[in-house]
Amino acid sequence: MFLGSNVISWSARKQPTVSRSSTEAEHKSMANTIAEMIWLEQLLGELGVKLKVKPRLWCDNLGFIYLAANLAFHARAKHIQIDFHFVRERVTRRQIEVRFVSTEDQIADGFTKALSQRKFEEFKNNLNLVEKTSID
Amino acid sequence: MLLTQEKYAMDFLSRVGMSNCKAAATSMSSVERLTLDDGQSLRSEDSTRYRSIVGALQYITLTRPDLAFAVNRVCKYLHSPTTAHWTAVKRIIRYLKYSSKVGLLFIRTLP
Repeated sequence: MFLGSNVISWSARKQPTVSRSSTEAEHKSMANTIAEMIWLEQLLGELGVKLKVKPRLWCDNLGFIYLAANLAFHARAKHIQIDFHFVRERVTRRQIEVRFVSTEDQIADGFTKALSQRKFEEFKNNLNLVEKTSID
Repeated sequence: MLLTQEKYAMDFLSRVGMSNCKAAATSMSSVERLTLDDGQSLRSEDSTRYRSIVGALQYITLTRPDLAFAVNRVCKYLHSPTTAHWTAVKRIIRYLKYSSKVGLLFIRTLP
């Protein structure tokens, strides 16, 4: 999770339950992310920080984006209930903006797989990991 | 603001006796995969050492999300580490040597 350009929170974990499709898996993780986002927004609010832009959620699964924005039920998503409604509620209330990011530009890849040196350097760059000597 | 754990990393490197190891540019191999029963089981005192070193690496992930994945992989085998897992841990340490000065940078965003 980024605040401005700074990373402030990250997480990668094994799914606790079995999913029937990648969209379902994405739904579960997005619901968790949104919960974290809401918490963070509240915390910042308590500290007197007002966010100028709407929180933006980047997702590399198109199926999820369609499903989150569209109220229609789909055959393969019949069984995803609570997470589904939780996510959809936030999106339709425009509390959160969901955007697509291609796998190629996925920042979080370094948390889920071993990368080549080039990709690994990019990953570090995206997270603002720098060497002491290279600033200023 | 830059958060680093450079001193901890340096102390750690000398504690495990790898201050002069060959640095590696990434924290793990992108082709090999670790499995539970690769290699030979470590003796019990070596297993203890494995656990203590992995624990120290876990502490370093505090300011080093780039290490998080690799450290998580070796953590999966804490209960019965083998020589292959030990090799992976050494690779992480070699990467740490390469990148001990790296830290998390926080920049004030202009309004």
